[in-house]
Amino acid sequence: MTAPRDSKAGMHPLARPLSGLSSPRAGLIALIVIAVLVVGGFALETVLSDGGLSKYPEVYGAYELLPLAAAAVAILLGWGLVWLISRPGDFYSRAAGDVTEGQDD
Amino acid sequence: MTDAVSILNGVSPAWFLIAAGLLAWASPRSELRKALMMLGPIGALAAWFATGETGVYGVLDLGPVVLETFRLDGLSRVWALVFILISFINAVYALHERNRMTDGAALIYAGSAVGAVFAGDMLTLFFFWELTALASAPLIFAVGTPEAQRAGLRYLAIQVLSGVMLLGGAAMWASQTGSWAFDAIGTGSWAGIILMLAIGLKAGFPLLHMWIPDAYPKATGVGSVVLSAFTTKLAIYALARGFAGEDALIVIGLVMAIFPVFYVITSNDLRQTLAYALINQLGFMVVAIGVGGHLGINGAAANAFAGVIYMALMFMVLGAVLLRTGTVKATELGGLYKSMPITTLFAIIGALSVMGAPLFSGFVAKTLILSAAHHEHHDLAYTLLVYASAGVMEISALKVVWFAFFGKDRGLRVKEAPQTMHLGMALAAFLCVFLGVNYPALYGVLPFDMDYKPYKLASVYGQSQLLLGTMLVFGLALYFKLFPLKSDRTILDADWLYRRFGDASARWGAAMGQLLFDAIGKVLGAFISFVRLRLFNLFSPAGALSKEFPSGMMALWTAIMLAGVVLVAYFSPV
Amino acid sequence: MTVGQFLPAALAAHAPVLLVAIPLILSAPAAALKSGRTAWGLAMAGSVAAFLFAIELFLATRGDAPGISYALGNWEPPVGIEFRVDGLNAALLLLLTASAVLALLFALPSVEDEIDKDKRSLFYSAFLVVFAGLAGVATTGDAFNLFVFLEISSIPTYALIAMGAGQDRRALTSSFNYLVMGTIGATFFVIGVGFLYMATGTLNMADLAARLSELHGNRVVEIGFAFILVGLGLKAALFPLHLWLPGAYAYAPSFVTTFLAATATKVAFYGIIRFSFDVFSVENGFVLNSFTYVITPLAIAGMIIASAQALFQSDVRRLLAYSSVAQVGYMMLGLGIGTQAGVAAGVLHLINHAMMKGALFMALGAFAISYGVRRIENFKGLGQALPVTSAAFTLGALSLIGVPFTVGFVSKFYLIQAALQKGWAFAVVAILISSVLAVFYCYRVLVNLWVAPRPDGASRSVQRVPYMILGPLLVLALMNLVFGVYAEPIVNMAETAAAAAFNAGVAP
Repeated sequence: MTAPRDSKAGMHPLARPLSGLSSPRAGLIALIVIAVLVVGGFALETVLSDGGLSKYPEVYGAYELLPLAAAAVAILLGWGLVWLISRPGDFYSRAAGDVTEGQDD
Repeated sequence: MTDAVSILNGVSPAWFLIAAGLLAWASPRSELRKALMMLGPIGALAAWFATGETGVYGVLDLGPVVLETFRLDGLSRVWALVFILISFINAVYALHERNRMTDGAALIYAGSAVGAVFAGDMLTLFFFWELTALASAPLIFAVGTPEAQRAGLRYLAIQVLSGVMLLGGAAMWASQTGSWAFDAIGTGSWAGIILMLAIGLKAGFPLLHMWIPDAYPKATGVGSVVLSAFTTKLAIYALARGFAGEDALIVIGLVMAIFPVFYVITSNDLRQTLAYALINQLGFMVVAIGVGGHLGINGAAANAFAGVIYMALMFMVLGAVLLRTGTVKATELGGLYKSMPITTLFAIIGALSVMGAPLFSGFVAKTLILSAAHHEHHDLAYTLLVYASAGVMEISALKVVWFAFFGKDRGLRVKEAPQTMHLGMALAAFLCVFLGVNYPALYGVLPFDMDYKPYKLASVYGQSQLLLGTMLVFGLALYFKLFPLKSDRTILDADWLYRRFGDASARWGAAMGQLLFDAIGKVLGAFISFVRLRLFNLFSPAGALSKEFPSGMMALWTAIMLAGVVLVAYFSPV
Repeated sequence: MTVGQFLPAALAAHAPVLLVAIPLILSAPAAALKSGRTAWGLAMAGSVAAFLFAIELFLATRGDAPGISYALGNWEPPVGIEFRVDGLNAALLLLLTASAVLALLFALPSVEDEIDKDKRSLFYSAFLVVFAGLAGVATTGDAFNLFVFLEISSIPTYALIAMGAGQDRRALTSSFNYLVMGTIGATFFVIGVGFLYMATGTLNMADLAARLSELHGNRVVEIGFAFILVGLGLKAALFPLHLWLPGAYAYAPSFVTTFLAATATKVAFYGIIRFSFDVFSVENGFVLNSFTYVITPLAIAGMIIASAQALFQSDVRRLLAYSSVAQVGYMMLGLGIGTQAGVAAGVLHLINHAMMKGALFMALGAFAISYGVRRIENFKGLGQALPVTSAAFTLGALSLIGVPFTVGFVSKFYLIQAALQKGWAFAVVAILISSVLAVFYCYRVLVNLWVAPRPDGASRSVQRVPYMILGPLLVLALMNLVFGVYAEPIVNMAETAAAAAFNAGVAP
């Protein structure tokens, strides 16, 4: 907002070459690279997996894949949690027992 | 040189730290205090090295009880070493700070944690256990705001409570077994259960964990570094000593490892995010202790060792951010890499260690626990831990790095952190990498000898897949603006139970009790006056039931109680 | 007499009666004096003398020494009045007299601050009578004589409480309430004694005990016990017969509250132990059943409900008064457990409670003198203004909570042990709940004391706390700490007392 986009003013000298990192495009590129790596990794594993790369004998299959779904679900559930149990920031400092009497709500 | 050091044979390292801390409190000059903060850990380290043989030193015979103040064995020396190391790193990190209260407190805190680890009996353990509580509270009080004062009092109350329970449990234990020695305890008796709860309170067991995310975010920038290092890891040590192989711990640890995920995702204060991530890591260690066996205990020890260092590094990073920007709220930070690139580098190293990337210390420590769980056929535990390491550990690390240093540029153009802070962070970061690459150094100090190779193709490959995948999920959530983060919200946790519910219900209960009390009196009064009992009229001048003149009520209660006693006496056997 | 004698033999031989008589006799000249300070001197002399006699008696009843029996006016018991001292009441006498001496030190500045000039000598005279009465209750071995001393101590107490009217007019109503209720209690007690007399034809406790043991299943005896228990329970502020206490403690002059909180309910508690164990016997089913089914539930209810009531008091003295009711609950629970360990824990808590409440009320008196505050919100920032007094108050409060290394912890620990031995896990739970409530109500005061900043308007100058207050206050506060770490003397004292109640008793 207040910072002019890609302005190098006030930047640490060591960070100047990296100033482009904050652009949305850089983020997208990073995301795509990671996605390619993930998909590639799984593809490679599928190709080679008959015994070659089975990681832990008892835990097969989608063992690396399921946690990803779980992480996504957890992040989305976070919304429900925020809706359910978040309170205004001064919730406790308004609380009666926290300060003194005379401030009961 | 050896001779000079060998004098220290049998001297507990704790005394160096505590003495340095007391001197630091007494010394008005900050240069002197800083020197003491460095010399204390160095002296302690020398004493640690000088006492080569395992055994019991520093025995105080007090007649009825014998206190063992320095029990050096495979288990205690690991924890003592990492505590000493981190107090030195903290000394370097805190060089810029001029605060007499926290300088001394950090040293005494470290010293009492070391002392507690070396305690051979429960009375000594209790002494140092309470000392850690008392010495660490100033780290929160030092902030000076009323909010921090209250948080500090809450923290202190819970820590002291833990000590009280420890002493109570220890007394019960001693009366059952006739010995105060602190060895394997187990949950076979009430004493054991109370002791486990006392330790669990400090270890952040579910529903007993609330003080961690309550207090740590409110400490000073430097204070949270030491806070994160000692108290909880000390509790892990005590669990490993007393409750290795308890199956209940596996369940408890799994809950601890998983439930913080929601709080990690939603908390806005990044130090609170780290506090929840800390609970998750403690959960891993608790599971490892529950699994037991050489591999499990080694896993807990390795995780404690590596965890102290990388969590300290993360808290140091946020301490630097707090120092320069005055906030650690995710919604107020962003783009800091432009002005603090060196700190950013350390943050990335710390984050990679936290998430357990290969070549970093988190990886070599965590695989031990996974292997232990796998080896002992706790397959469900194993699978859930894998989930937890993806969900909690990695998201917390990514979240801190992303929201503080990358993310939306809020235009914060601040100075880079002081050189001394960089030095402290560099030491910790170096250890993170060193222990990850040169893992035999870490495995060498563990309690039990073992031949374990962390870098197997399968585990490295699997771990990389996991990390990249979670990174992708995290990135997608950010990209589509699905990450649930709101500014200026308080996310309720179990501390609500006593900060609001307990308080309110106590008030409610008291008010209701009063009403009930009055109502019973009124009903009885009405009844008795209905039958025109003269006794009541005698003792009941006008308004006798009103609050200022309770004599009538009282006469009534007297009569009721008399009736009660007479009835009981009447129906009693002769 | 026996070991540990340190007074001249001629005096020591009459120690039990002199302990009571000297304060009683001194009260007359004290009333006649004009100068409050001289009256204070007399009161102090009487208390110190009593203290010395108490030490003498305490030392003489240590170890295996048998109880001391003193026949008043050489009329041999059971016909004449007998004074009896054994391990149980020797400990109580020591506590009573030591509290009186410490409280009196505090009295000089406090009374000058709170009581009108022309009433001071009367005030001290009344105090001496109260003191003599309480000492008499603790020494006498005669059931009816106990009633007399109970009234001797009670009537001037009403007057002392009413003297708080100079500060707060509500002292008058509180005093009146206490008068009505105290009279009910005393009446119940004397009715009970009357029943016993009907059944046995004697009033001497030892004689009563001997004759009662032959009267199994006598309903008159049971009813007598019920009346005595209720009467003394009222005096001891056993929940729910405590309604007189909060008002009386809250509006009485500071010194009176300090002294009463440390002693008055304790003496009644002693009376219950004496009657239940020595005159009657716990081997009687109705005594034990009353303990289990009446005293214990009431003790637990008191511990929890009174603590909860303390939580929402705004006047600190009322808060502490309710807390006293809860603490009486702890002592009663020890009694309700009914074993020797339980009684020892109850007596231990009795001693410790005197130390902590003595320190707390004295600190409140100091706050009142130097700052004139009583309400919790007025405590804001007092920690900085009066650090030493606040520290003493804090020590007392920590002890009240039962933090380790304070006496409060020691007695709760023994109480929990006694409950566990009996297998009463619910009692342990109740103790823990009550302790947690104590944490909350102490927390409220302490937070205001230390953490909350001084309100801006409070530029009122703070008077220095007189050394006459600081001295005894610090002694009491440090006793909380010293005996918390080095608990052996008081634990021994309590165990000897319990052993005396159980074994030797007054039975010949």
